[in-house]
Parts: sequence; C-alpha cells; structure tokens
Amino acid sequence: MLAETIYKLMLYGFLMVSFACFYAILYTLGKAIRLPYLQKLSYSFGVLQFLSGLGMVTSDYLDLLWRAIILFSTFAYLFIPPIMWRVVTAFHERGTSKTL
Amino acid sequence: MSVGWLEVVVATLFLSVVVSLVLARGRHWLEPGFWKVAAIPLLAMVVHAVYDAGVHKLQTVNRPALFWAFAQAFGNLFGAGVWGFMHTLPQINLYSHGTQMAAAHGHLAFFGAYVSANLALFYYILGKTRVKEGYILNGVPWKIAYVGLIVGIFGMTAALTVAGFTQTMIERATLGSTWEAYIQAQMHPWMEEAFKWRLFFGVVFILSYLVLLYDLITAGKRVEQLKEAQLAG
Repeated sequence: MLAETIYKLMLYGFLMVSFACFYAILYTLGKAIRLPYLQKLSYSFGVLQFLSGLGMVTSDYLDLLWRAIILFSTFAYLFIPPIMWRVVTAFHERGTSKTL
Repeated sequence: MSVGWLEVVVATLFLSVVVSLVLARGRHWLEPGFWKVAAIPLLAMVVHAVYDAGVHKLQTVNRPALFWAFAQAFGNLFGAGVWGFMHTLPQINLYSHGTQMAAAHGHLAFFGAYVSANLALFYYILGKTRVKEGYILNGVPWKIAYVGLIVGIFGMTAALTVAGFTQTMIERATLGSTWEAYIQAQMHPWMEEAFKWRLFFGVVFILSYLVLLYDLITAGKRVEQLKEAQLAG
C-alpha cells in the first residue's frame, strides 16, 4: 500500500511538471511563430497539468499544508506561460533596441 | 556598444543560473514548501528560450553558444524541475533519498543547469576571442558532441531512474530498508539491467565529450582556415 502511494505521488509529480513544460513550449511557440492551433493545443496540456496536480492534492498521504502548497503551484503553472510571454516581449523590445 | 539578441540570451542565462542556484540551495536548506515553487523560474526560462528560437528563427553568428543556451533552459527544467519535483516532496524523499533516483536527478540537473551554461559561455567567449568578426562559428564536431552528450546524459538519467525506482519501491517502501532488502533490490533484474544501460550511455557520453574537447580546441583555427579557403577559391 505504501509503495503504491509513493509510486502514484511520484508519477503525478513527474506528469505535472512535464505537462507544464509542454504547455509552456507549445504556448510560446504558437505565439512566436503565429500558429494559433499550437496555442490552443497548449491549453490541453495546461489542463492535464492541473489534473495531475489534483492527483497529488487528493492523496490522503499528504496533510493540509502540503496539499495547499501543491494546489497553489498547480494554479501558478497555469499562468506562467502567458505572464512570461508579456515579460519577455517587453524585455526584448527594450533590451535589443537600446544602445548602451 | 549595441546589444545583440545573443548577448541578451547569454546574460539572461547567466542570471538565471545564479537565481536558480540560489533557489535550489534555498530549497535544500528550507525544505518545507519551497521546492514546489522552485521550478517556476525554470519554466519561465523555457518560455524565454522558445520565444528567442521562434522570433529570431535561430539566426546567429554563434550556433553552438545558442544551442547550448537552449540545452541549459530545457535541461534545467527537466533535470531540476521534473526529476526534482518527482521525488523531493519530503514524504517521498523519505524513501528515495540516497537511492539512484537522487543520482538520476543530480546527473540531469547539473548537466542542464551548469554544464550546458558553462559550454554556452565557453562557445560565446570562443566566438569573441578566437573567431574574427564576420565569421560564423559553426561546423560538424560541435553538433556530434551536442547530440551525443544530450543522448548520453538522458540515457544515463533514464537508467538511473529505473534503478532508483526499484530501490525506492522494493528496498525502502516494501521491505523496510534492511540489509537483506538492500541485497534483494541490488539483485533485482531492473537494477542489473539499469546498470548495464548506464554504462552504455556513459560510454556514449565520454566519447561525445572527447569530440567536444576537440571542437573547443580547434574551432577558431578551423573557422579561419575555412574563410581563407573561401577567399582563395
């Protein structure tokens, strides 16, 4: 039972960040090379990331503090790609045109 | 001095290494809670890398520096982010700590975060010091080394992950960390097979490393010879 619980938590953790990674890559690539279908596809990975996080949150093995932290991270990962896109575009607009 | 986009990438890379180093150290010291958000800047770094790849269409005078910068962003996210996230939760780490799982995480995280960053900086400096302005730093050896090193490190990481999983599940979580449990896990077929694959990918890695050394030592000279041949021809 313990081994199975550990195995599931490891799997959910692995999937959560992997899906977050695919979400970020596809979202950014879709915006950068102007392919809207890639951006739409990226949202499905965002949802999968969220579901993987919920898999950890619903585990009885973790107490409330850990569930709250994981839930916070699960939401945070949803917003990282769009926020970072704005930061990076603003950063490049200022950084590359400026002469030091 | 005008600032090109490669300079922005390299500067961001250096800054991100320092930030991720501080966050990673902080996570190891202040274990409760911090590790869950430590992967967020790594994800942000990948967004930046993909943005640069897409918008600038990989146009640069120093392709190895750029590709090692990308390897840094992705390797750091997978090694520190995914492999770290997978087993650093204290309730899991209680069983995985000190197994080959930690070795798998360490191999990929250090390669992604620091080895790739150093190689990007080596090539960047090489381009500035050994290659005259207007010459493009490129060639076949760095590509062989790049692919070989990445295949080698991911292969070793995969093998170590299987071995670490076996140790965590059989030796620790099922049989209770006794000496007998250790022996049983070491003799398990998953463990034995994993160590064979680790050796194979280790050989791939070291051969690619030799190619990398050759390229770093001779790249500047070869670019100049190529340019001279073009001018003569």
